[in-house]
Amino acid sequence: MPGLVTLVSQDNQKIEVELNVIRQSKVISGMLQDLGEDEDTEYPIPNVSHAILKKIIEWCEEHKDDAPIDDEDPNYQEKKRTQEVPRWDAEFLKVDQGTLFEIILAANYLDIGRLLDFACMTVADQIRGKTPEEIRKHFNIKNDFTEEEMEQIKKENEWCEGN
Amino acid sequence: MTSLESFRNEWKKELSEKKQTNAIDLWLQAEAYEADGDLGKAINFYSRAEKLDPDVFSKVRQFRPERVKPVFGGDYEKVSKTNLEEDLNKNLESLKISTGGTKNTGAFFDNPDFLAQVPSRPSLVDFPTEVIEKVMRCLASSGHLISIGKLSLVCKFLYNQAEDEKLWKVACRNFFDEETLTELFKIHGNYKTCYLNTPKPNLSDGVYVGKQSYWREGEQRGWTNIAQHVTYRRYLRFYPDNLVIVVCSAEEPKFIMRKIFSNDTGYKRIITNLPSLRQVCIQKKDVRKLAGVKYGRWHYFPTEKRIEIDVSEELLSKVEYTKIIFSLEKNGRQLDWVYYRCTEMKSNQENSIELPVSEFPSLELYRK
Repeated sequence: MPGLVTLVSQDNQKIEVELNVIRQSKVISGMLQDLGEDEDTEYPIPNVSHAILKKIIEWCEEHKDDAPIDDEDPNYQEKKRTQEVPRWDAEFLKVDQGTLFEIILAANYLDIGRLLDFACMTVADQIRGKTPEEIRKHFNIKNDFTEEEMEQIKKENEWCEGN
Repeated sequence: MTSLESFRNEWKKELSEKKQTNAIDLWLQAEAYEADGDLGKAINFYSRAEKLDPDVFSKVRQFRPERVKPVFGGDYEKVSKTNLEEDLNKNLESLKISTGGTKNTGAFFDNPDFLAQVPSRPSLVDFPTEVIEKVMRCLASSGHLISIGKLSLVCKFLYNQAEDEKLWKVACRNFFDEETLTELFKIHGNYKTCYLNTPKPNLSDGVYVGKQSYWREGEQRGWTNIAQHVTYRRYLRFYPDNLVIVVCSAEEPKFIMRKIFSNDTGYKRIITNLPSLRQVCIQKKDVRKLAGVKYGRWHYFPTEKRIEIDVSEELLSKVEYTKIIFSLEKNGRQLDWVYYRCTEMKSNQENSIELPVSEFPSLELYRK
C-alpha cells in the first residue's frame, strides 16, 4: 500500500505505519529522506522495543494533524513556557514509571519534540512538592553525598526551606 | 636491609602505576558511556577513576594518542567494536557490574541500556542530560524553583544540573523584564544570585492573605444604634504568566484556600497573547463560582520592590478598573499597601476614588 512504511523494532518485530503519521519523528523522517521512501525497505529502530514503538505510533496518530512546531520559534518557546499538558496527552502518559521513562527515551531518540515536552512536564509534575528523600524514592536515585557534603549543600540551599 | 627497601620501593612504584592505568581505563570507559548517552554510568565511572587517581584527567590526555581516540561525536561503532569492547569485558567482569550473564557484557553497547539494565525500576539519573534539562526547565518556568532546590539535594548529578545558569535565567524571566535582568546581572554576576537575592512575589504555591474589617452603620432601634462589624479577607495568588487572582470573601479561609488551590491541575493558561480576561474566567470555573473573584495582571519592579496590579472587570453597564500597588516586604513573604484606586467607567462618565491605604493591614504569605 502506498504511503506506508515498515519499521522494525529492537526485538525484530515489524510495524506498518502511515508515512504522514511517523513523519513527526524527525529522526525517522530524516531516515526516509536518506534511504528513499521505498515500500520494500524496512527501517530499523534499534533503540525502541515493540511495545513502546506501538505507544509512540499511537501518539503520532493522535497528533498527525497538528501544525508542525518550530523549536527555535520564540513564540513557540513562550507558549511552551506557560502551557499545560493537554488532557489527551495527560491520559496517554498515565502509565507506570517504567513505561513513561521508556517513552521519554524513545521520544528523545526519535526526536519527537512535543511528545518529549509533554512527558518532561509530566515528570516535572511528579517532582513538584516532593522532598529530596521522596524524589529519591520515586525516581530510584541513590544518594551519593557524604554527610559533610550534605550538610554543606543543605546550608547552600536554605533558601528553599523558607519563603 | 637495603635490598628489602629497594624491593619495597619498586613494589610501591609498580602499585601506583597499576593504579594509574586502571584509573585511565575507567575514565575511557566513562567517556564511552557518555558518548552513548548513558550519563548515570558515565558519572559513576568518572568518579571511580577520580577516586583512584585525582589527576586522571591530565594523564588521560597524555595517554590518549596511543590508546583509544576520544569518542565524542566520533565514529562510536568502530571504537566499541575494537579495543573498547575488550576493555569493557575485562573491566566489567572485574568490577562485577554485569547484569545476568557475564559473558555478553558487550551487549551493553548493542542494546540500549534502559532495557538491558535492571528492567524493573528505572532511575531518573539514567536519562540523557538534555532530558533532565528539559524537566528542570519545566519546573523553572512554572516558578517551582523550590523543587529545583530539592532536586539539588537528591544526588551529585542533579546538584550539578541545578547549578545551570540557563535554568536560573529562565527563572528570572518570570519576574524581571530584559532590561531589569541586565541590570541585576551587572550587580550579581550570575543569574542564580540575581534570582535568590532579589525579593520576589511567590508564584508557585503561595497565596497572600490579608484580613480587613470595617464598621457598618445599622438601623436605629429605640435607644440603641446597631452597627455591624464586617470582617473579610483578601486573597491574592500570582501566576508565572503575569496573571493574578484576587478574591475578597468573608467565607471561611480554609474553604477559600481549597478553592483557590483546587484549580491548579485544571488550570489552563491561555492568555499568552492577552485576549480578554473573560476567557480566563471561563477556564477557571472552579474559582469563578466564588463570589468576589477578579482576575488581573501583575507587574513587578524589583528595584523599587513594588508590584502593580491592574484589574479590570466588565460588568453589565459599566467597566470597573482597579489599580493596586504593593510593596514587597520580608523577602517576598509580605505585601504592604502603597496605593489603591478604583475607577468606574459608565457611559463616558468616569468616577474615581483613591482609598486611604495607610490603615490597611498587610497581606501575609500562606503556602500550600
